[in-house]
Amino acid sequence: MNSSENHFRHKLDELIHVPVRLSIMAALAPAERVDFQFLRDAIEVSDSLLSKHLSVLEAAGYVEVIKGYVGKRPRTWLAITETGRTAFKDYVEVLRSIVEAKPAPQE
Amino acid sequence: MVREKDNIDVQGALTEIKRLEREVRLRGHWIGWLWFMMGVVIAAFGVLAPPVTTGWLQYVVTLAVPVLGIFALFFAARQQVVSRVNQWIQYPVTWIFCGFVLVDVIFRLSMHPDHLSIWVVILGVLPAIPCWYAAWRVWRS
Repeated sequence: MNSSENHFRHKLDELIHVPVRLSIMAALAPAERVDFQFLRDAIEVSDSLLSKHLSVLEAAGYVEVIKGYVGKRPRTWLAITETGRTAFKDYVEVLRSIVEAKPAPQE
Repeated sequence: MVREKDNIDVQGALTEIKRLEREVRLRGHWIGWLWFMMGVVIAAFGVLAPPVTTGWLQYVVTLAVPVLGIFALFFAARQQVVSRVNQWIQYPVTWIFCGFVLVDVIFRLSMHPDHLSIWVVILGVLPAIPCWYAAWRVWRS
């Protein structure tokens, strides 16, 4: 392994480290489940873009999409899985490590 | 607006995580209000239920329970975030609530209270305590 690959940033989960996907994971992590429309509005993206990134996260097993009905109206709920929660927790830990890391002394 | 191709810096990522965490947690607090209101209505019913009260007040306290139930159904259906804390506590709180209601019912069936007394107040308020505890836990999250 190259010495530069020891840097914290190499430990960042590339799947999460994309603006929209980071926002999705951040919004889902503190809740049991979140409504699709609420998530779309909270992170200010279009339906199609949100769906696209949700598909990636769902394929990775990070997010679960739950479709149901309230009365006759269809409703889509989104929930973070245990795998997703662990991955997000690790991701946040790496971010904090980067922020807290002291700059290397200059020679 | 979050754009697909935006660069993401570490501090910006942490700020975004904090912002969304706060927004989602606050949105999930609605169930705390429902628990709180349930406690208020149950306590009012427990203390003021007929025959302790008569006249218009007995109709108000009796009607408050089904009105809250209907309101809760519509209110819950409109919510967009389900609290994680509530998911953990809802079953234990409900069982404790049922236990306290049972104690109150046994007291009423055996003692037939027809006026306000300290026991009517204590046993009437008792089922509301787990509801208020649940509200407090949800709001604190």
